[in-house]
Amino acid sequence: MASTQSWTEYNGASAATPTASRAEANWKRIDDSTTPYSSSPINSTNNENSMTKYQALVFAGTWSSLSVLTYKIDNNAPATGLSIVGSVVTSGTTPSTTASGDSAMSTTGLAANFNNSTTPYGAGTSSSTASGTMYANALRTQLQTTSSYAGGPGDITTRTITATWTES
Amino acid sequence: MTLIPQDTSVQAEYADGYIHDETTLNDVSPYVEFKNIFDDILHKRPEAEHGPMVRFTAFYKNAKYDIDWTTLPDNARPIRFRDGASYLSGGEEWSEWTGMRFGYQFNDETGKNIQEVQEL
Repeated sequence: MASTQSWTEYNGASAATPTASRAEANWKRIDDSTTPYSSSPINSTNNENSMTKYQALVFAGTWSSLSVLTYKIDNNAPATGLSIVGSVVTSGTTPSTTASGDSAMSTTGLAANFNNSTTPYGAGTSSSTASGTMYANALRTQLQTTSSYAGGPGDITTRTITATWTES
Repeated sequence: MTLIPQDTSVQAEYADGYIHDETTLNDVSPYVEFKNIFDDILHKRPEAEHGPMVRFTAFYKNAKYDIDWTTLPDNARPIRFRDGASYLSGGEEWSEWTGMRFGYQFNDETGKNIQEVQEL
């Protein structure tokens, strides 16, 4: 068994409504986890941004301890004028298309804490021996466009978000 | 039936020959809810029934690594850390182990920390 992991997405007011085991992770102009991105695309010619997206890694199963959690993305610059930004958050804000103010999403690893058995929102601790279910702090990301973007409408190539951790 | 040890798994053998094995027990402690087999070994839970640990073993990438626990002082503690990664990409999520460290730690008679850990 060891630990098992799943990704939960958070939507709605204060990004507090969870959808568990949500692997669909497209950035789009609507704050939900069900609408296809093609139905609510980002219009780059208007310098639009996606809705901020809140996701958290959730642990279940068995372990002795969990520690050293990080989030990263394989590439944060899909094209000139396009940027994927992100940060680890300890509280939720209602998703918005306003620029989040986050820096370019880390490609090497943003440290996150382990919070508790019910929510990713809270200060948490960098390691934990608590058992049962464990929510890591949430990751907030956003796809942003600027006036320097010269491409037309269309998909960016697939990106991979990775969470890493150590367990005993 | 003999199960192939799962990657990054551990097992411990005790004085009466009992083997507390992560793969066989599906990494679920029979002693404490939601804890794993390594936690049992670390906290010596099987020793009340089976005597002192005599061997600590790890399995990784088709190799077996043994520590003869009878050569270590009573205050020795087993070490097993495994590094995990969970991926979210293209509408799919999956996880894997990416590394492992294995060894022991104890304080000698002067209080000095002695630690032997191998990156497997």
